[in-house]
Amino acid sequence: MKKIVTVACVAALVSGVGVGLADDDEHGQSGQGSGGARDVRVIATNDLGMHCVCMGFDTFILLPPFNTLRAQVIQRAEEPRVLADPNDIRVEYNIVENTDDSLKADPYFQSWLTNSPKLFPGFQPIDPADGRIQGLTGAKLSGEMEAKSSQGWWEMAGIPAYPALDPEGVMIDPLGGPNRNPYLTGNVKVYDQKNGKLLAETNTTVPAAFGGCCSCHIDLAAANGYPADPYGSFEYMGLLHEGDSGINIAQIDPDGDGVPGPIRCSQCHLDPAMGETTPPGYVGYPISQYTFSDVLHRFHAQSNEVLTNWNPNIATDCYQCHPGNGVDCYRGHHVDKGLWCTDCHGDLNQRIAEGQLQQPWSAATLPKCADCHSNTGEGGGYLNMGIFGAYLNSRGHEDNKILCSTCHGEPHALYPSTLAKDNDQSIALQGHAGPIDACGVCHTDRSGTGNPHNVDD
Amino acid sequence: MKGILFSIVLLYIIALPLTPSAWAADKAEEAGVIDTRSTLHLFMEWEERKTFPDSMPFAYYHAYALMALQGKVQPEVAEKITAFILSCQTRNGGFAVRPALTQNPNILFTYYAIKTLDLLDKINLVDKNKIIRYTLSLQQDDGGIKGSSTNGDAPNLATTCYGIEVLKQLGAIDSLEKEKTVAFINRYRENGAGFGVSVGHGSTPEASFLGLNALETLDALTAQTREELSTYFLGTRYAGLIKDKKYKTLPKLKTMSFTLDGLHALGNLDKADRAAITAFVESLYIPENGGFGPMPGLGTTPASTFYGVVCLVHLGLLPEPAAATREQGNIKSKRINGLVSRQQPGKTHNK
Repeated sequence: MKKIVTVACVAALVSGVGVGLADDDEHGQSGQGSGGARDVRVIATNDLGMHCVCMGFDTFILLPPFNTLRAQVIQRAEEPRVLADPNDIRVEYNIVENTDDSLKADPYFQSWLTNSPKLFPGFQPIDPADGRIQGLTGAKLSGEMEAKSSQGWWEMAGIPAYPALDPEGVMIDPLGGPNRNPYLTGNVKVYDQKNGKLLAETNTTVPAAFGGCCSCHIDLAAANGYPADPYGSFEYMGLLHEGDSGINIAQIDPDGDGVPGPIRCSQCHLDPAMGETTPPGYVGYPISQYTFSDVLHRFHAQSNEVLTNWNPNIATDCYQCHPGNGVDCYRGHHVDKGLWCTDCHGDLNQRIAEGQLQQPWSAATLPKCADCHSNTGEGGGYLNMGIFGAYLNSRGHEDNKILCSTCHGEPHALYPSTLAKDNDQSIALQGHAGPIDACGVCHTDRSGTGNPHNVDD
Repeated sequence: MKGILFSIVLLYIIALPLTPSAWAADKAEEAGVIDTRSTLHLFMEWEERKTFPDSMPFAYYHAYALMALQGKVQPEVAEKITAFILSCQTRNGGFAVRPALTQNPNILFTYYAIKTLDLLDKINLVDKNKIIRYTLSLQQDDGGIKGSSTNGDAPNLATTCYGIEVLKQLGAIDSLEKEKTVAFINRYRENGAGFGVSVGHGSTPEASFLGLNALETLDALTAQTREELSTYFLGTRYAGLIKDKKYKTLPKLKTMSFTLDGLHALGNLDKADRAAITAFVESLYIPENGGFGPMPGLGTTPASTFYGVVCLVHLGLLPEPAAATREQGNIKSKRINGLVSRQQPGKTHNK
């Protein structure tokens, strides 16, 4: 009997577990599995650290629900391997606070369900095959991540994550509705494709917040005799737009139903964040020569109406719009250093003067770590520039396989973050908040910390 | 007799908290929520920024707040602010928002430049006549003053009022075509109420204070207008007199500060519900860092912390900056209508 119990205990100890059992390595991690024969780590991040989304979609929209989750999976060993073969493992994600039922019942998200096919012709926000909510890329609120095998990570772009109704949430509703939680949870699980066993699991922050436009524009509409609601705002916005460009956007009726709207600004103004290289335009209306970033930021920073009647500091007051509503999404380590948004991104006046806004979201105009930090390896041959800039897609460590964000956290939420939730993952991995600097997180033969930026290490 | 009076005055001086910061701290303790020492510390942290003061409005906010919180601006900080301001002046006399953007002077930033230099007692460092000429160059045939000389730029109430303030500060208000300017300003008046940001539309506290202040400067504020503006300000949510009404949007600290500016200018602050106003201002105080947020539920911003300080000044919880500098050493201080003044230590209205 004793033998049976002993064998059973040993079996229990070595059996595949991904959740809840503390690792017996020196770091005392929990939530990361020692899945039988395979000792795997998964580290997930959001791509930008914040995604803004509009509250309603009946009139005009800037940004649709669109969130991107990334994960790197590492086989622990003396020589760890990055796992990105979909034949080997399966990586699943789930946005914990967003369910199909909760979003279908959300009055603001219902506007998306109704209007998104008009905004994006051909798009079906509910997958007819399974009745589930899907985003512009087909991504759902839960599912399998796509392997980026050549790059060494897993990704799901276009998850239609949306701020969750939550009376305790930090995000206020400028239309007076209940507060919401903009810091959702992205749960990521790694399974062995051969035996279906859960190998590792982690949670990361998936941020989604309402942009701050309505906070001012509702008041602006009211101050000019229009209803203090999105419809009044749209109507007045149309007049303002007409004053500048000759085009009253509140008269554009893309679906021909006799009711103006819904329209999206990026239909006429290039916005690389929408994944387009040319704005599609509306029939009968010209495409603008100005990017969305240029017109929006330049107008607000230079308009005497804005400066004198609304905010003389709008050029440095990023939270007025990004995202606003009480969500201080810039919450990472740099906050503790007294750095403001403008210290990395420049203030609007500076960016306008330098012509940056004609090239938004580009490697040329986004901040680089090397602007302040040495020994980042930038320029060392493994910088992967592309849309969204240097930090986001850069990799380092030996063989340049580890995303900077995997160890340092997502943009705007660099470890250690001032939002406790952001730090849960790094604490689970190494026992303390901060950049992943414990070699033993991945290396079975190492303890302590090393120099992860030294490619010869 | 004279000796007795002198002794009483001397004892009174000794009994008074002599420094504005100590006075402010006492008041803050009485208020029970706001720690102005913490607010002062926050401003001092911002001074450490390489790009301090970052912009022209921030320069003013900083100088004003330091005066209110501690009665002075340290010489080295004053030097930094002054150097920043002077580097923002353009060839035509106007001021830009920051250095390196001197191709874009604006009346708003010129206003903040002059106000700040005046607070720091450095106004004599600038060529006043040049600034006056710049401001007058922006006046239009309809009496309005544009924000900038950019083609297509049109004057509005706010740009006109800031222009008037600049001229007033520089002692050149008589250079204006007053009648036309008054007519321009009055176009923004809502019948029987306040002023709006655009002609023919609803009143806002911000526009109403700007309009009222400008008319007063131009000696054009009639008794009827004064009364109607009083009624308007006291009828807004910010006077604290409206109970049990639900609003769609959240109240804003900036709007509260302009409402208090307006009530103060009209001598009607004592008719407002001071307790309700104080409670609102206190609710936007962020104890973690001593700052203020712009609306309920939001975190600290530099601008809203400035507006919080302005509200505390109007509520008598901080001394008025102009008084603090110009009457330094004098036991009398400017009385804010109906509220605490340093002449009456121990008497407060904040409970």
